[in-house]
Amino acid sequence: MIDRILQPAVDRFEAARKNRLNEWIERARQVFAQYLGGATPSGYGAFGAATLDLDRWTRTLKGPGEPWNLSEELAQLEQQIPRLPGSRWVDINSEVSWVHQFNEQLAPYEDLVGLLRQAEALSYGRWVRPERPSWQDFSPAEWSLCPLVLVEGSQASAGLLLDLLASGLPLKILVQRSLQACFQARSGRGAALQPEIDLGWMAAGLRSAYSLCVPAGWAGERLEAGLASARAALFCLIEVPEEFEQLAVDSRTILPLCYDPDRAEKGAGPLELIGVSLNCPGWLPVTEEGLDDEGEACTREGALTPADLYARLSGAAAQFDGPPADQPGISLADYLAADHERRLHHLPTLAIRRANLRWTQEVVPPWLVGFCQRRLDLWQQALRQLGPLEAPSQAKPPVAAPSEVHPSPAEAVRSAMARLAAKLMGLEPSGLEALSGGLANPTTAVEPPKEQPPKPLTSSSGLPWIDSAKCTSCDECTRINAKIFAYNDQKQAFIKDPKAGPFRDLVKAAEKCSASIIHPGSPLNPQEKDLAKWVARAAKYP
Amino acid sequence: MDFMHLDEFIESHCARPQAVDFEGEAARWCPGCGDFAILSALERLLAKEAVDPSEVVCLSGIGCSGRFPYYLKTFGFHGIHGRAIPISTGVALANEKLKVITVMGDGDCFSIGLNHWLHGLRYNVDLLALVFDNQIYGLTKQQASPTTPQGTWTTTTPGGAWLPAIDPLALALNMSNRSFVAQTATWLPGHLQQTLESGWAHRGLSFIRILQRCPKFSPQAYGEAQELRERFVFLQPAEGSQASAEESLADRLEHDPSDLKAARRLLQEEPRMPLGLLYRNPAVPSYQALRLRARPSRAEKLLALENLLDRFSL
Amino acid sequence: MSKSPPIREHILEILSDAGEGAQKAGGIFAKASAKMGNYLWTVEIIPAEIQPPAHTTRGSSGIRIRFGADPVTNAGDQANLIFAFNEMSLLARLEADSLAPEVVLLIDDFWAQQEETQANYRQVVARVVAGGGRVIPVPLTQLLQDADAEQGKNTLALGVLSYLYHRDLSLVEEALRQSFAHKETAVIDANCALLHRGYDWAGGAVDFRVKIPAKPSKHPMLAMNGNQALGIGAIAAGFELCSMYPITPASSASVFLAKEFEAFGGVVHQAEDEIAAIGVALGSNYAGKPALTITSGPGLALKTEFMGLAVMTETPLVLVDVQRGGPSTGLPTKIEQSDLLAALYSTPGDAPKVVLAPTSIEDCFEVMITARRLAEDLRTLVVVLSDANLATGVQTFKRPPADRPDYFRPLEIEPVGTEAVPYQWDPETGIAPRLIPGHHRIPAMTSSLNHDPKGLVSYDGASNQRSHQMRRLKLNRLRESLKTPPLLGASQGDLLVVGWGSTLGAIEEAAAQAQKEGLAVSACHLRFLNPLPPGLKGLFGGFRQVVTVELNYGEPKEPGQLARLLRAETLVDVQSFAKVWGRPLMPCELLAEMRRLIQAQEA
Repeated sequence: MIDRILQPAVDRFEAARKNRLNEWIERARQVFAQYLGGATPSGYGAFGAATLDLDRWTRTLKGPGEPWNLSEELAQLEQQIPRLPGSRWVDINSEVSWVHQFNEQLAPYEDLVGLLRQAEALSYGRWVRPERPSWQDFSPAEWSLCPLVLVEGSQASAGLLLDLLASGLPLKILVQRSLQACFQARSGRGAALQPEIDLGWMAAGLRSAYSLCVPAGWAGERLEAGLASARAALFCLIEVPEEFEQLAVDSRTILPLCYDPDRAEKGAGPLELIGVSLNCPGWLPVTEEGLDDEGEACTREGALTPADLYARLSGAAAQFDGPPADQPGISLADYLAADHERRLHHLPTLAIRRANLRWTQEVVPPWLVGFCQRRLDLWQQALRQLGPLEAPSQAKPPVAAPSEVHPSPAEAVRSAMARLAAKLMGLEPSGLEALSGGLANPTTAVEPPKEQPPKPLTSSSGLPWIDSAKCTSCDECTRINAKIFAYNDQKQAFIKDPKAGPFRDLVKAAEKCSASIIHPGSPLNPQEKDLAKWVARAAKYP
Repeated sequence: MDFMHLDEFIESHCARPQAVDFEGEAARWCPGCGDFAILSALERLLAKEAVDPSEVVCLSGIGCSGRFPYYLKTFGFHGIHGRAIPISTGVALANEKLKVITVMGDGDCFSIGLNHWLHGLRYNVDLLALVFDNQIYGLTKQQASPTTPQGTWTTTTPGGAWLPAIDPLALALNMSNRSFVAQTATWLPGHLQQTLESGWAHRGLSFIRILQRCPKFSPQAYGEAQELRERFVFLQPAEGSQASAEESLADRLEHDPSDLKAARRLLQEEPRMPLGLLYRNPAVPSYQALRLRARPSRAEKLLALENLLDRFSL
Repeated sequence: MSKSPPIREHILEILSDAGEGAQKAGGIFAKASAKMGNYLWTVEIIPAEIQPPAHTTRGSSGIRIRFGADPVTNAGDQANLIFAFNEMSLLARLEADSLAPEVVLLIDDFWAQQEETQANYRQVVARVVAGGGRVIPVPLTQLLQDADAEQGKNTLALGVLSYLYHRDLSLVEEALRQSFAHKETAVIDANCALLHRGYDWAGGAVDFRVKIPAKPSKHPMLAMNGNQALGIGAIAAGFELCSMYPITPASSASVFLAKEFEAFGGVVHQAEDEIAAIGVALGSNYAGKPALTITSGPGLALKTEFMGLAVMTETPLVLVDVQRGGPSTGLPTKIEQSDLLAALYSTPGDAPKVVLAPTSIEDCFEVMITARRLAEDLRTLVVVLSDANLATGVQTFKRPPADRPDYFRPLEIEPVGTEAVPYQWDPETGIAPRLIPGHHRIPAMTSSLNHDPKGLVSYDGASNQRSHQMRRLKLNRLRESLKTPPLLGASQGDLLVVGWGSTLGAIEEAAAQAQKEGLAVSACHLRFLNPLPPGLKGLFGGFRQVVTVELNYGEPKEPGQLARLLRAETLVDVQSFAKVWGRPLMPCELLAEMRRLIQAQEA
């Protein structure tokens, strides 16, 4: 696959990169040329030369700091150009650490970029003192001049790959595997995550890396964009015969995504789900023509699952357990949706259209049931986690003012992505159990718990609340009691903990509030001193 | 869950800066000071616009408002009394990329800096010029300002302010070439926010008078909160912008902000104080657009210098 | 026709009512003379009013041209030849004691024939003759009428003078055509005809001619006035914004820039007042566009608060003060050097700044490059003290090379770490790296209040002491790098005269003459007024007497401004020769003073 898909993309990148490099260097040469050739001047005019000991003064200022002594550096640069290293593969199993290999590769480019920056600044009438920049500070445009550092990731563990991605080094990691191989990983907890298929999702969870997970044939422009990105990139390319690519996606076997953290800046969201309709939370319905037992043409309606893909992909070689015998069979989709009781008395079956176009019902083996269960869970989980969630820990205004309900969606997405990644990487126990449970015992698979929206706090609940959107951030309430009142990330006050202080403080805050948006509710502690007085004063702020 | 809107949703909200990202030093104004509201609103505005803090310069004069730049995490310049507009003009002329916020008090802008303010309106440099008008000198402890209402007791007018207050809105409207005049108040955070946003979007000097009360020296300025309906009137919001939540609190008046005559008439005939966008003319070129030219390259400059010296050559 | 005496230089004045074009004719005469290879200094004689009444002393307008075979460094002594278009213009100069006793006077005799002016005419001319002068009446008005022209006395006069001084008429005509280039061809041709008419008339009627030797220079030369040189210097130094408010005599520099600056991407911003003018310049520098402000005395007074702000916030800023007579509105068009102490000390609080003074027209060009550089090196205010003498004086000087690398110096963006703060003073130099909005990624606070290295307000005494120390340290370090000014003459003697700014040429001329006469006089001139160069005390120690020469008001017990400054600096009892006649220093008056002082020492 490297030869077929990746290498041509790398070659195209290299050709374009060398063009860019030559253009930049030519431009720099032109800028420098304006400052070359003259004798080194005092830089202080004849007036300065007549009055100042310029040697002494420039020594005092520490360094000559003049832009017109560039000839030497320019000559060095010109010598260097043929020796600037190009894109290369890095051996992660080598004795020499990959960090070292990476730095070695980039070092000449740091010198180059330093000089280009000086030229760039000079062309705008600005002078930047010579300083060797670090590749970490390169702008995207400067990165586009640097060669690629590629890693063949298929030989490494998922853990190591995520380490590489998280290191911040803009490595380009290729992971490739055939779809068949994915189906063959049948047992064992380690295989539960199907890292080859889901590595892309894990990488997306890091939020800082470019991540592409698609059937290999779909890589195309997104692969090139990933190569050109200034970020670390993971290309998880699943080799699927071309005629099965769409099916692999439609059956939820592959959940193809492209996560480009920079796309947010380009005016779209960072996450792109490829070739998937988002408005179907379960299996895709499917209608197929075939012949019934009598040989009559009939249409069968069902759901498309990974088992269908497996059956078609493997053809006659597919291992199924024959038609159901002692127990009635129900379709795999129904089985997966069934409750525990129903599952106990039914077998999951798959309708397979044989070469003679007749349908046969075959029992699906447990490993494949588990596989399908996990794919469905992941799909639903992904959708649920990425959907608009309620903001965490945000005090809410009463229902009476629904237009004011604005959870912080950015926060929601951020935490959703983090949680999804944690689950995928097995860092969150509940998530891991939910995912691996299906394998150990399909019948115990449970729907992930539905996110409970926080109960809206209304005046009728008796709890205090703040119409946060109208807060003027005057600090009055937080000064009275910083345990009860706090600011959210929009710097608007909300009630952090109504029990953290006396009812008195709530009332005083309501009275002081310059925007009159604090509603003290009713007292939580009936023992509080002078309560009647405070309740009376609170009445003005229902 | 509405999956169809996932992209849109992520686009509009992911990785955006938050208001707190623009918070500088801990603000130290008196409790209840309206400056807090302006600071928060501005932080929210900068977050919403997702600007690079190093490309924003906030400049101030002297007074309580002068402390504003310290509390904002952008480039800040705390200058001298009344002169924020000239310095801002220099900053804006120096680098068109910079967004410039000029913060002044009523004494700062309307008294010692009046000349710069009126001429600033005429130059129409691209600034967001905010005047925090609490009708009093606060930092120097309760002296009369040009907007102190006649008869008000202050330490310099123990018999009550001798003179009627100036009307900054009328002055601004009657200056030639002005392009943006608005008024809002600190106790109307939604309206304040919206007004700042429209000022930010305007290319030219966006003059926004922000009514506020000094909790120490002018707590009754502009009347009690419950008098809102008698004392104020909201101007019909600009096309495309929504009415803020507070606009149910007082009457609304139809007003076309592109109609200068109507704006002047409104000030003369309407007894209530207008809140909102009084005048806006996006067609007035900013001073930068009028004056700044492309920078020639060094080679071009050297050639031009030769030609210039030729004219003095013997 | 008598033989011309062997003279190496001459001072010519052409005087007329305002609007009669004496200055234009003088300019053409000067240009042609410079082309022939004479060195020169010209200075305009400007009435203080725009439309002064004609035929009065107040309306006297004209030009003085000192030209010669050797380099000319100042406007010189009294005039050797005067061409007056009427007797009242002449009277003004007579009263100003601007005529040499043996002056040759050419005067339009039209006024001798007019009933209402003839008495006055005779009286004024008689005064000239009584002083030893020679009068040559010229029928200027008559010649004009004969030519059937209404205007052009000045061109006729130019023709007469061209004959008198053996000017190359083709060069004069070329300069005239250049000067009238924007006029219609008919007008130009008519003026050329008048030029020849004047020349021919003189050839037939005047038996007085002077030949000033002239040798064309091998090096290309320029001729311009000091304000033009300031403007071109500002352009070459890489300034991109000139923020100003109109004031005499500074305006002409900004006016010049207004026309030329845009070709260099520059802007002249005419601010609403002097205060805003410096404020805009300061803001521009703060945000990374090199800017300057140009003013004169009353403007300087208004700018003092901003000058303090530049020092306090350590914002580079160049302020040019083209000095005029003061205090208050004073003498707007006349020279004085009386802003020295104001430049140094008018800012309330301790505000150390750099103060430079150009000494010639060429210096006006060069000083701008130095000023910008030092302002940015030191992150502080640099004041350049020019004056009305330089502003209006035209001098020839060598054309600077075409592509000097110090032209258009780029703005320096210092690389700073991510932890940089705006006032991270280097303990050895007091200089902190400059953080520029839009160029550095670190939002930084700049404050007019006393501040700590982070730019945050600090009210504690130790912090205040420290920041003052740092601001002073910068200038102390600069001072160490200054050269002790050279002496003209021996390092020991009876008298050392010390000057500053535009009086250099006159002082050196007088000192050289005194030395020729055998007087033990040396001269020393200051270009840096703050910090003062080191070694002055040692220099002064070689002389019996040290006297400053300056154009401000001084008395024996209240000496001139520089004298006071030098007394404080050196603890030497420096005296001053400080005068405020509103005209440039004449070498002869200083020479007389030198003689007097040395005689007094002997007595």
